[in-house]
Formats: sequence, C-alpha cells, structure tokens
Amino acid sequence: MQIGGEDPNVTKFRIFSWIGLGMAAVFALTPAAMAQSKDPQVADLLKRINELERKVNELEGVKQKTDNLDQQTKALDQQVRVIDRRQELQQEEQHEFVSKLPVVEAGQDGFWLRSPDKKSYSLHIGGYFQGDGRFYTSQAPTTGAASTNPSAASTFLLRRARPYFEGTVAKYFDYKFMLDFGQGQSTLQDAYGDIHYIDEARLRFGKFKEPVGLERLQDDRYLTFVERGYPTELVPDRDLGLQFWGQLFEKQIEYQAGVFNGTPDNVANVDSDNNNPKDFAGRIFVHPFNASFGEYVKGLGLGVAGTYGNERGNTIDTYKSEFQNQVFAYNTGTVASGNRYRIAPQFNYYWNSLGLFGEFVQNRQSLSGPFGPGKKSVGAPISNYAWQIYTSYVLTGEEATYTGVKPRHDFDFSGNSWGAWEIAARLEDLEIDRDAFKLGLANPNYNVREAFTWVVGVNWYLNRNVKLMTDYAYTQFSGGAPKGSDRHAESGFLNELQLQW
Amino acid sequence: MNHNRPILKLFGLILMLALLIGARANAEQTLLNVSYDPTREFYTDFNKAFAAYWKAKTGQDVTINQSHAGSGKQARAVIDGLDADVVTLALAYDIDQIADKAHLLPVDWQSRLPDNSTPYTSTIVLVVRKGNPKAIKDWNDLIKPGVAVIAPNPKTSGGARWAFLAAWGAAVRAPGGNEDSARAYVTKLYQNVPVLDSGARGSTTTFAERGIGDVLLSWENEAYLILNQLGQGNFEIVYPSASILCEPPVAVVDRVASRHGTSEVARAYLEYLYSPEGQEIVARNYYRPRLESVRSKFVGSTHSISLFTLKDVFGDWKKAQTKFFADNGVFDQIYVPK
Repeated sequence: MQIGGEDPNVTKFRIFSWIGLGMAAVFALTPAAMAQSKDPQVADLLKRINELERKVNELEGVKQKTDNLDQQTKALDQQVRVIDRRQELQQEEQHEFVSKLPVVEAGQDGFWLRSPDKKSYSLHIGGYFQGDGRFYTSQAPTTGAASTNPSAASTFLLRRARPYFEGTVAKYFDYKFMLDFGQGQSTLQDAYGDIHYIDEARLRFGKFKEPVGLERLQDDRYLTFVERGYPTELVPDRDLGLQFWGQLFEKQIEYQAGVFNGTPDNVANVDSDNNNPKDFAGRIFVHPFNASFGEYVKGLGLGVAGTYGNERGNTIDTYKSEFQNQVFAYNTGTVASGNRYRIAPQFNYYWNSLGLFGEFVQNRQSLSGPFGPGKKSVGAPISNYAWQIYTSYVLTGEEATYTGVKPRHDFDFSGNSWGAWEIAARLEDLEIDRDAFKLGLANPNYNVREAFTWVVGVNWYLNRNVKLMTDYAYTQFSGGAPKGSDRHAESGFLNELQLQW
Repeated sequence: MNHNRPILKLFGLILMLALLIGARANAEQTLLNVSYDPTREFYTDFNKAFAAYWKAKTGQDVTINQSHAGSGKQARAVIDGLDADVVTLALAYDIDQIADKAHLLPVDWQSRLPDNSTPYTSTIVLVVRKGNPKAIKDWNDLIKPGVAVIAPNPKTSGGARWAFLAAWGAAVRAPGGNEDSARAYVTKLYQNVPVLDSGARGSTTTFAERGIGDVLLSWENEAYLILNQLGQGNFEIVYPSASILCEPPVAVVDRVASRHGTSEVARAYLEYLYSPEGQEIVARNYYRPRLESVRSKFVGSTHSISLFTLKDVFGDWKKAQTKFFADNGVFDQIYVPK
C-alpha cells in the first residue's frame, strides 16, 4: 500500500511499530492489576513503548518534511524551467525583431541602408571629389581661336564633385542618381533605373553612359591617368535612352544594346533631342579564357562597340588636349547633316600587378556648313580617328584591375605600410579628317590636324578611399597655328587628389 | 530611311529573350506552400507523393517548398508579400484575411473545393505525462489548483484559437453551462498557463522537450507525433468528453500562382489532398480523413469523443475572431501576461 506516495520501508516500520505498541499495551494492561504492579519488567516495557512512540512521531515528522521538501523541489524545478523557457522565447522574439530591422553599414564602401534580407531594398549614399592641379612646363597654350580666347594657365580646379545615391527597390529594380558640381557647374550626370530579374537580361532606362568607349565606361574613380585618352573624345558620354544588357556564361560575355537620343561626342549635359532619328549603340565584350585556360590568359578582354544614327541640325563635337584645352572645333554654322557611325574595337588585359589597355575609335559623321564664301553648303562625311594604348604596374604587388587597385594595407604614418603604388605609361593619338579643313569646315589656323601624346604617371593609393595621382604629359601637334605651322607642344604635370566614399 | 529601324530591332531582341526565358520557366515548376505549424511531417510525406504523381501524369518536374509558422503569422506574411502559390492554414479566418486585405484570391475561395476546402480535419486533445500523475480526465481537471497547462497564444497560433474555442465550447455545452460560466472557466484555465508559445510546435517543445507543465492542449495529430517521435512511452493522450472539430482549410493564391504560371499545378496539388492516395497520407500522419473508406485507417478513429463544430457554438470565424481574439477581445480581457 502506498500512502500518499511515502517510502514503503517507512510504511512497514510504522505498521509494525503500531502493532508492537498495541501488543505491548495489551500485555501491559492485562490483568488491570498489572498496571498498578510495581513489577520492574512492566515499568521497563512501558518506558520502551513510550520511547517507540516518540521515535515514530519523530519519523513521521521527518517524512512529512521530506515530502514537503520533495514537492518544493519539484515546484522549484518547474519554476526554473518556466523561467528558462520564457527567456528562450523572449530571445527568439528579440531575434525575430532584430532580424526585421534595417541594416546600417558605414565603412570603406560608403554608407549603406539595407532591408533585413539585404536584397530587396537598399540605399547607398556615396560620392567622390577630385581636386586637380595643372602645371605647365611648356609655353602657356592657347585655347580655341587665339584672337578671342585667353591663354590657358596653370591652375587648381575642382575637376569633379559628385555626390550620388544608388540602391535597389522591390528586389529587382536598381536606381542611381549622380550630380556633378565640379568646375562651377551643376549637372545631372546619371539618372537611371535598371530592371533585372536575371543577370543575363536587364533593362536600363534614363540617362547613363552609352555603351561605347572602354575608358569612358570605366568609373572616374578607377582611372589610371588623371584624364581619359583621345578615344574618349570621339565617343558619346551620357545620353538618354533605353538599353538592354547583361552578362552571360559566368560573366565571360557582356553585351549592351540600346537606343538613345544621340549626343555630340564626349558631352554629358544634353538632356533632350531636337530631331526624330535616334542612335543605336551596341557593344560586346568577352573574356574568352576563363581560369581553366591558365593564369596568364584569363585576364584578357576583347570587344567591339559601335553606334549608328542620323543626326541633323545638332551641334557637333569639339576636342581637347590632355590638359583639357580645346585643340579642335568646327567653324560656327557647321552642323550634323546625316548619318553618323562610330566603331570602337577595344581590349584590356590584367595579370597580377600588370595591366594593359587599348582602344581605337573611328567617328564618321556627315556635316554641312558654311564651306566658305561663294561655296555651296553641302553634306560631307568627315572621319576622325583616335587610339590609345597604355600599360600599368602596381609596384606593391596588388592586383591591377579594370575596377581599380585596392591596397592590401592602408598607409600609416608610422611607416609600417605605404598603401599601394602604381606606375603607368600611355601613348595616344587624335587625327582629324583632312577634308574638314579642305571643305572649310574648320579653320587650320586654330585647329590641329593631329595630336600625339605620351604620358607617364604615378599613382599612390593611400587606402581604398584616397588616391594621389601625378602625370607628366607631353603633346606634339600637327597644324593648329597660323600659316600652316604647328601649335607649340604642350607639356606639364597633371595632379589629382581623389577622395571617395 | 526608316528611322525607327533601331527601335524595332531592339524590341525584336527583347521579345526573343522573353520567349527564351518563358520556355525555360515551363520546364520545371516550383510551388511555395505556406502552412501552419504542425503540418511539417505531413507535407514532407505528401509533397513527395504529389511530385511523383505529377511527374507520371504530365512529365513535368515540380518542387514544393514549405514554410511553417503560426497560422496568423503566416497569413500576415502572405499579405505582406510572401509569394505563396498555395496556403494550407489552420483556420478559414486567416485565409479570409488574405482575400480581404491583399485581394490575392476571391472572397468565395472556400466554395472552390469540397467540404469547404478542408480535405482533412482534426480536434483538440490533452497530452499528459506517463501515468497521468495529476489524474487529468476532462476539461474541468485543467483548472484544478496545481495543474500547469501548456497552450500556445491564440493571438498568433491557429491551433491555440481552436484550443481556446474547444475549451469555451465544452464549458458552454456542459450541463448548466452558459457564457458566464465559460468565461470563468477559460479565465481560470489561462491562469494555469505558465508559458504561452507563439505556435503549436513551440508548445510541444515546451511540454515534451523542456519538461514544463502537466498537460498540453494539442492538435490531435501533434499529440500522436509526440507519442511516437518525441518520447515513446513518456506521454499519454487523454480524449476529453467533448471537443471542437477543427477544419483547417486549403486554397490556391490565385494572383501569385497566375504570376508564377503555376495555377494548374497548384490546383492539382490541392485536389490531390482529396484523392484516395492523398487521404491515406492524411490518415498516416494522424489527421482525420474526409474519405469514408480511409477513415478506419486513422489511429484515433477508435476513441469516442463528441465533436462540435465552430458553426454549432460560435456561428462563423468572423464572429469568433471579433469576440474572442481581436484586440480587447475576451482573450485580452482574461489573460494577464506573467
């Protein structure tokens, strides 16, 4: 029998104790006279019964306490478990709450605000500015028509000051807005949206770089030289349009194909079109050798880009030297008057610290204009050419890439690390169609027929956010001065301090 | 010269790529089934069978992804954008919310499949520890002093709402029972609840794995899972004299399925629940099948229990939700968080 769950042995002891006491009582009380007897045995028996009774009571008390303790222990155990479980649930709730909070990041890559899944919504606030110093070692050059334009001078200038914000909404829609306040202007450089459900096929719309020049497409922050080369003079900069683009076969092939308003070469602040025809621009760029072909060849990229359109009545292009001085402009009244196409084969190659880059552009545009007194204004196709080739090498061992050099260790004043250092050298050439002068579309007294430049440069990447650049450029001109002589050479140092975030 | 030629070429290219992407999408289909907490094992079993059936029938591969959590939470997730092709939730009210607030399926969704779109049913039972040390036999034993009851939160868990209504309904239908006595009963009942999990599976963890409480208010299927998987021989099921017939519904989320191009396979997926094969899987996973011929295969079919429906006691889910579980409803009034 189990009483209230007590220990069976205690129970047995209790039972036998009571039986024993009972028997002892019977023996003690019968005959009744024995209760009065002074027999010492009886007295002893009584004494022992009392003692047994006392012990049983004691044991019962102990058992009661043990039972109580047992119940208290179980209750405490449950309370502890309940507390633990509530804490566990609270932590789960907190974890769920935190997992729904937006993610804020601030670091080398700028300032980011992202949705908890880090994919669906994001905002990146970034920017960069480039403070330049241009110092001539040659005679101060003229710019444009000598009679009307003052000589260019050595100068400091804010080359670019570009805040931007970009990000993603609703997981599949990217956006970017970028302004420029450099050189005393306010320009909307980029304003576009990207729809991308898959990497292989995306749609971009708005204002953005046309997919033509390889160096033009390179981000300003990652340029190897302070200024882009001559081919960039002959290709479009930003334009408004619609572009289909993507990356195939694990980014071995990139393609872009778009329709745009059609802007003059190298101009970014034309925000509308004044004629109906539109330009078609397309580019394909391949990395034909992936890693399985070996380290030496996987860094090769080859491509070709081009545009085709029909421009009428638009203003046309002017071209600048390495120091951004105008070296060629068509006569006032010369306008686009027909088909225009550009073709731009291009390549780059990167292997460890070594970089190699080259592109060629032919720009052919029908023009018409005041061909001179007594001459008819007729359309004529004018073809201009430019090419560049350069090499770079990162002395501190970091990788050379199209998207810049990332120093392994930041520069610190204690001398433990010097950041990353890079040297580079470039050859480039710009050639104007002779017909432009023969047909009277450009004045040979002020405008060069050809510009050939060599540049050497040193870049110091203090960290991923700060870069110092120094280039020495020397340009030899053909034509561009009165009486058929050559404009005098232009040389000097181009320096730039870039800060980006 | 046709100056629009570049535009036409570009649109042609876009169209071609769109066709290629579409063709790629049709080769394999993926469904997301957003379900409530305790159906994990059931749908693991069911999805395998359906995938094989669909492949044999159409030659098409289908992958079914599952999402499980408290029914109320799941409904809110779908309203907020979780792309469910089908929902298989604990109660019709949660799917009604998806129809009303997000307009992802029509308001008459429940009439589109047999038995009010409930291919299987369940009920609420009591799970106790081995030997039933607190001698729990029926609802009244749950409010005795010293009895700790484990139940999930009716504000977040569909099963908890069924449990609450089962308790209330049993109290109202008891001899001499009325609204006041039912309210008094549930007040005492929830005073005996030391931990309120957000979902049925959480309550199972609290009771069976953390060793808290004397009795668990549980879905019937979950109770059998506890017996067979979480602690063989450590628990017992007690069938109360009366409980509620739980009718967890299923529905295709039309606008999502249409966007994904999965409408046909989603419909077939839910229809397969009603098939003999589907009903066998239902019974095997401790749910009460609708198909008469399979009912005897359900392990709980031998237990005698009087089942009342939601309609019998409360009318409909909208009334029950408003009265008991909405903000400042009966549950908010009687439950004091510990």
